[in-house]
Amino acid sequence: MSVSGDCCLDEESFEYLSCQGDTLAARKMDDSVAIERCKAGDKEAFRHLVERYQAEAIGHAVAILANREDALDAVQDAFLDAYQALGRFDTSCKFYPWFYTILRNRCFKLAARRKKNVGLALDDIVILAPVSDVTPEDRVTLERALRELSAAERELLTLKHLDGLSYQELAERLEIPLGTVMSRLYHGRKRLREKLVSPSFGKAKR
Amino acid sequence: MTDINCESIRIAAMALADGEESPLSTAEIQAHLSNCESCSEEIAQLHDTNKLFSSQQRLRYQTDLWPQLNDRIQATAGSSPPFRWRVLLLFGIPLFGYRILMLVLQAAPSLWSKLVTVILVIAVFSYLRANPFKINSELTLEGELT
Repeated sequence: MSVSGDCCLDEESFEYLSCQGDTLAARKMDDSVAIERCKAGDKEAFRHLVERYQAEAIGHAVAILANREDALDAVQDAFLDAYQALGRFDTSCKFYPWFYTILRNRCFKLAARRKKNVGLALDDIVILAPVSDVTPEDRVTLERALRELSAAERELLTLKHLDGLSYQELAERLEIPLGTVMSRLYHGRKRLREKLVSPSFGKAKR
Repeated sequence: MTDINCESIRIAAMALADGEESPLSTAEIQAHLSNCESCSEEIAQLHDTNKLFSSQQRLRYQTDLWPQLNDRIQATAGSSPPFRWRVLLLFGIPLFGYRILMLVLQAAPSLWSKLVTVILVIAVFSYLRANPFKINSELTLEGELT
């Protein structure tokens, strides 16, 4: 295994995935190794974390904020916060759940500032991906119904249904008791159902 | 059959449908659903919604945040306080210190009690590493639900 370029990271920390390009994106490194190196002042190691988790983080931020531009701002701010707080990170823990706490804090601050979602057309799809089993019409309807929910409800429902987190994982991720997860999931689903059957969505039979 | 009872049955039934441990037994839930039409109807509707939702996938974004983030990290690392902050630090801190010193020299007992309280509060929050000004998203949720 060889790593070309002038980067100062050890070869054994990487798994070389592609011969093309010389970016850290093309390699894999343990998060704990990257974090240790960040703590030692190696900024390039932080790039590994950003490139590894940015897509997931943007997806989560979009689900909370229901707005692509705001989500990008929130994720960038959250990564900056994480970089500055990395010294306090316990390397025995996983990076992403810790980062997610920072991210959702950023998202909810932004959501509190922007009470109403503006600048998004009704048919803009920012949360759901096209899948073969689902008609485009259903996707638009569900996306619009989701956008009508609160940020917290959207977060919980998308973590449950799109990421498939268990109740226990949801409780840990959102730092709430298991009973609260059950209750909020029920109320969130009920509200989503109400939105879906409301005449304005035109899908009353679903 | 009260509304609260119905709600707990619905919550438990949804937990069961999710393959999770339910706070009520399957027999209890079944017994209630066989006698309560509104619960059976709502559970069936929620199942349909779940089915629609669960066949969806999260949209994946390919945006590369690193170039902008790298600039911001560099800007943060090499930045000195803005000019107005430097002016404040230069004049504000000595003035504030002088004022506090004058007040302390007058030795007003109420001032001492206030200072001690403020110092204690700051110490507690620093020890807990908690931000007293943090926005609590859970409060937002409760407000929206009611």
